[in-house]
Amino acid sequence: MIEEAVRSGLARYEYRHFIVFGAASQFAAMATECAGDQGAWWEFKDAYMLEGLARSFTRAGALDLARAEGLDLDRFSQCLDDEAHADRLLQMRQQAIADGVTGTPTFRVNDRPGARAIDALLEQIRAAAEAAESAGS
Amino acid sequence: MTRPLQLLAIAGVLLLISVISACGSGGGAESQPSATETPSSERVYRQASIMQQQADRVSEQLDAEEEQDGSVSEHRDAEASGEDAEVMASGSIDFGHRIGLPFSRNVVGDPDAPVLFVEYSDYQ
Repeated sequence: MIEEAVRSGLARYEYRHFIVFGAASQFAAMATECAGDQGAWWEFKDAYMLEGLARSFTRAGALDLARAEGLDLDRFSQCLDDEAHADRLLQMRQQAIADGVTGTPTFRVNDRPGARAIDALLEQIRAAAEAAESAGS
Repeated sequence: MTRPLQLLAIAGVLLLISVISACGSGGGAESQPSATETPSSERVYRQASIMQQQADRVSEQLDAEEEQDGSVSEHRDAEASGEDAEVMASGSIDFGHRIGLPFSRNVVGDPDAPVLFVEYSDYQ
């Protein structure tokens, strides 16, 4: 349903990492960001989130994913070695804390706390869209 | 079971525990370091840990403020009213990027959309 709101142009969706399960999650987030450097951010996010590829939470698993997506493996490995997106992940965490996030999943609608129940969340999105329209007109 | 046999069994269990304990804290982790456990990672985690404590404090503060002014967020309403059956799963826009929606890195959808919907999540 949220996807419908996005498809209809009512909302855009942003995923932010909020690591609560330690090193493996941190590594997967880093791998996703490194994949993003080569245009495969969502492919990695989907693989980790949707397909439950537990083995991918390891370096070997991430490299398998990168290979499957046709990424430049040397560049990808270098990014992992350098932890090139450590600052970006840290910034996301700082923003999360500023937003009052203490667990996952947590939603925000136009920078306000989002409901967890779908119906309430959709209502928030509609109300936020109406408020934005009113403000713009 | 006779008393000597009981004592022998207890001694055996204690020995097993000490062996397992020694393996867990010994060279295993040192001989096979994780790819992710570099000094930089550790620094990030230390910071994350500190920040988590800060978040917990903020959360406690928010709880106290909500209690004081009676305003309870819908998020907490949902939890309190047992609406868990309706709770959204993580990854609500899975595959959105593959069906023609504009996307850039971790954002998908019309850049001019009036609403920004953010999901904070962990993969696990």
